[in-house]
Amino acid sequence: MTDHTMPPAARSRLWRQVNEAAATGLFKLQVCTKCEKVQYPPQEFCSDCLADELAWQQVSSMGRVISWTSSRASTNRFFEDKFPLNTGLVKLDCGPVMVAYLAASCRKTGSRVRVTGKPDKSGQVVFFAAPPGTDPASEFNDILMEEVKHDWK
Amino acid sequence: MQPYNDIALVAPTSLPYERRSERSAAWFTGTAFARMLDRTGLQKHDIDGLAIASFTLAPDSVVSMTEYLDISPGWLEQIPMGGASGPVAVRRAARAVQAGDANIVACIGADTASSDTFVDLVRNFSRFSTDAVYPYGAGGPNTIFAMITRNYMEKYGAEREDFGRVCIAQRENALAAGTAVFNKPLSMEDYLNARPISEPLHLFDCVMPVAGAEGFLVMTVTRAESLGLPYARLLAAGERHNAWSDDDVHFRAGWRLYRDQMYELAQLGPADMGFLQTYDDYPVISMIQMEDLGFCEKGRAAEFVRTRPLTWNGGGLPHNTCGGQLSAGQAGAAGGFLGTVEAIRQLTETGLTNQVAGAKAGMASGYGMVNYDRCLCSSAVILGRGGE
Repeated sequence: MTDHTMPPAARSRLWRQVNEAAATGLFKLQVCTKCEKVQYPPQEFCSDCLADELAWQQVSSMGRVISWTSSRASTNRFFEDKFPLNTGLVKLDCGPVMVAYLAASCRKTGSRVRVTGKPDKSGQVVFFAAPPGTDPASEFNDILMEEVKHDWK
Repeated sequence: MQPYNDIALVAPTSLPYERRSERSAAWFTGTAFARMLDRTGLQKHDIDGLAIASFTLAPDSVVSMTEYLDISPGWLEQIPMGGASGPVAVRRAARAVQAGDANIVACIGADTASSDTFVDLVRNFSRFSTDAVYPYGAGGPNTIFAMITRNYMEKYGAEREDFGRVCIAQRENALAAGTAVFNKPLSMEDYLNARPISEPLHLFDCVMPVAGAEGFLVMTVTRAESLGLPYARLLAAGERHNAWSDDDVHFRAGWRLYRDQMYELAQLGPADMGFLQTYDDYPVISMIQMEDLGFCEKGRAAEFVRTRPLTWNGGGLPHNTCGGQLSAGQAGAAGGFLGTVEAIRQLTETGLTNQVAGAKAGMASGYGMVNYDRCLCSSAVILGRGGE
């Protein structure tokens, strides 16, 4: 049975590398050592030049909200008492588009955001987009974020 | 693109959809297969090709179905393209028949729906989705398509009422067809006041997962005529996957890249289409198909649906004439066959309660597989009335 008191824990094997990269406290994504394309979500070779030499490197965590939604329905009961969930598509300055939780104050297309990756209660990194220069933890103060913030500091 | 000479689509078959079912996808597949034999008088061993699309048939596959049905085909295909699978099945089967690799191909989209099939499907849909979408609220496709819808609204000035027009017209079509799970009229007030699911999407923008099956047979026109079976003629078909991958937010899919070639092959244009059956997982996606398939300019579908009736008998562009998935529910990969089957039905049968008057040709399109932040597969067919 799925444990509905914990956030979804299933990830691919590659996601361990996301967790390890986030544990350094730096915003790291896969960068192709041949053509420098930044890759997200993680995969095993560069989708541009097809080289299989991707390195986890620090990249800019800045981006722009290009769309967003407030969700009030879920297929997983963990989320049922946590609506609305604000989620955005963030176009990172370094290239990729990332799905991330979105601070309420950033629910506007074009908002500048800084993205932070933090482990949730299941130990898996999730990404949060908040206004640059703010304490991201203070931007996410609803129930979901309390679940996630347990080790934010 | 080589022409599809002499290809007939026969026996459009829809099993009634069920909100929940204890039966397996194999039952839905096999029952649709048997129904097609009943309708045509063919014996099961006459079918020497089988193409299947299903999300819930696993761990079985099209191979398992040959044993369940005890048939021995010389050609098998399984199409993992969800909502794009109907037109793609037509395309695959037509070339097999044209090349002589098979004589009669049964194409079936079928899925079951128990209390947890959709939940499981969302959780394990793709690796990108498991890693980078599902953890953010597990909203399934609603989350992604809400963001696609918002972008479309902001980019092109579409309003919720425009999506409402698509949904309401389809509900009228469903009531005329009499086959849909949702069988009450839908007013604009109902549409606008529905509860939010993932804003800007509300209840009637979303399809309900159901169990069901859709299918048809592909053979040569010569064979269909010798068997005395009514048929639709395949005039053109196309598919394109992962098109426009540099678009930051999805607002178009591959149709634009082959539609002109299809119209040229069919020697017809959008104005000659008696109907359009789009893949309607969300109304914005139907509107994007109206644009990308050439029924209006890019970005102008809102204006198009404000001025053109979309009902089966409205004198505009009859669109999703059986009500589409927004009325019938989404029977998994069968949803990718729904429009194609309805197109064949409109062109092969007479006296339908939702019959489009005078339709000599029509189009059906498909769209499927949200791997990360958009669906990757697009497909379409142009069909003509047999014997014309």
